Amino acid sequence: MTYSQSATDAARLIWPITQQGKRIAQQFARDHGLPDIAERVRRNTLAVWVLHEFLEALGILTDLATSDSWNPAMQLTEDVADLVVPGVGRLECRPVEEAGVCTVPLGVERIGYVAVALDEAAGEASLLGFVPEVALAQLGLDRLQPMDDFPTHLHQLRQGALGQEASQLTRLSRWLEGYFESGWQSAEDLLAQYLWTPAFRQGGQSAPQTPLQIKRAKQLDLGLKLGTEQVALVLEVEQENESAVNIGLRLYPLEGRLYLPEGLTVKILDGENTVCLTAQSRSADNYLQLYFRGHPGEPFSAQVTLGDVSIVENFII
Amino acid sequence: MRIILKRSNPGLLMNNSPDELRRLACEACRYCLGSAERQRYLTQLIRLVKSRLWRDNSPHYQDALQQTWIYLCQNLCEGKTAKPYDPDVASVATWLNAYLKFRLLDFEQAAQADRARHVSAYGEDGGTTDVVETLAAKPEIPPILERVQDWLEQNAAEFRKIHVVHHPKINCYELILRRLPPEASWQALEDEFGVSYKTLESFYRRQCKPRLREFGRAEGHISS
Repeated sequence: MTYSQSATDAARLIWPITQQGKRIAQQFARDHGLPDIAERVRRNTLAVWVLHEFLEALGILTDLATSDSWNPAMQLTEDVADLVVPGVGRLECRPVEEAGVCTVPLGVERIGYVAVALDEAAGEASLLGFVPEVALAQLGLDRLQPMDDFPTHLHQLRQGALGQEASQLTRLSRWLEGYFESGWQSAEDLLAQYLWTPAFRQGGQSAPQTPLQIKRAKQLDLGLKLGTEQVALVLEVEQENESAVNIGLRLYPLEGRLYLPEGLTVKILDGENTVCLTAQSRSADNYLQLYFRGHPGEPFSAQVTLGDVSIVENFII
Repeated sequence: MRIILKRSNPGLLMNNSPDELRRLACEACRYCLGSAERQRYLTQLIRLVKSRLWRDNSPHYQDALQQTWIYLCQNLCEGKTAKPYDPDVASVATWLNAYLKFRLLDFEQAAQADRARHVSAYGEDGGTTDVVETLAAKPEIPPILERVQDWLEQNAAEFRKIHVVHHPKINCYELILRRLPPEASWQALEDEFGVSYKTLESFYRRQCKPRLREFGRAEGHISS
């Protein structure tokens, strides 16, 4: 016995194939008239089900309903064995062929590939291990990482996904170089979409000789709890000189509305989370605005609040 | 032999002695519910304790085992559905075996009650109920392939309008039709349409697959 084989043997996690799993697999297979496809669907369903039950026992939620492996039309047209882990992504749960071959689909977005050896006579499956990503259509079983490490892998991915959302930082110096983060579009595009053209010239401090002035807008959805209240956050960035950048921040109503919702508050906070500037809308305000100046590299954030919904956008000048 | 193996991969080839299993159980409970560390120790514990569990040929054995693993994860530390595990009272295997045997007994009793009901039903009817006839009376639902084909024909006019730029013949309808089993390979489709298979594949992924997926999701599987 070679070392790699003994490691695989020791790391395999044996998991039961329950009656419910068998029933679902048979029911899915019956829906396919062609024997080859029916057998493929049956085995894929078992592999996905076993992983679903393993994760369920550990307390990790999965979503079979939105997995292609649970969709009859997808089963028919593709060799699908995916399992959606909400907030993380899609896992691939591949049944291993008798010859020890495990074929995985390439070019699809997956958060990991788990090799599942089905022993239907014994009524159990071996979760042989996983790999985070694949380069070849054949999964090398000697390269699998043990299932013990699998929860950590999922947690890391989830944290990565959360971190991306929370710490997304908009770099205004990059704007001056012509690079924009996703979600920030030209202000005219966003506001024209709603057939409402704001008068941008008013209040602007820009003189005609100003070398560079960038204006981008982002749609903010404050209606999570209050219905649909969408506003446009518009940022104007102007490089005054090497050490000073002028920033204008405005909020406009969207969805064809003329006025901002009453009581909408915007605050500018510095790197220490101290409120530097604040403004609040009254009953019939067309927009809110705040102007300030900062140095390149200086962080700040804009907090937009309506009722108990609050959105924070983080920036670095 | 064991020493050599331990040296080469100490994490994986830990022994499954009662003391080692008890240590893993205590380690798991040092981390909070739902944490990666807790789940890691639980996975290890399940992997190692399995060979020490009761095993029989009951048709319900795997179901009882699945319930046992859920019981372990929920009650090892917090006691969510029962009293939590007490390492001073029993070894992990003893604790789990007690639960496993009760579940096997439950399944066996349920099956017995089920059989008793069937027998009495047959007795009252004089044993004439024809189960096969009742089953055959169910309306025949066509397999999913036929249902996809019907859906495709019903939407043919609309799907023909969605096509590759400048190639009205390479449209959603034609591509879905050709990719149904026995599907034409992308290479064969490249030859047929004179457009690179990459273009065809990307069009299929963006325009055809989402429609198929939506149909499949709404359609679901025939319930048995």
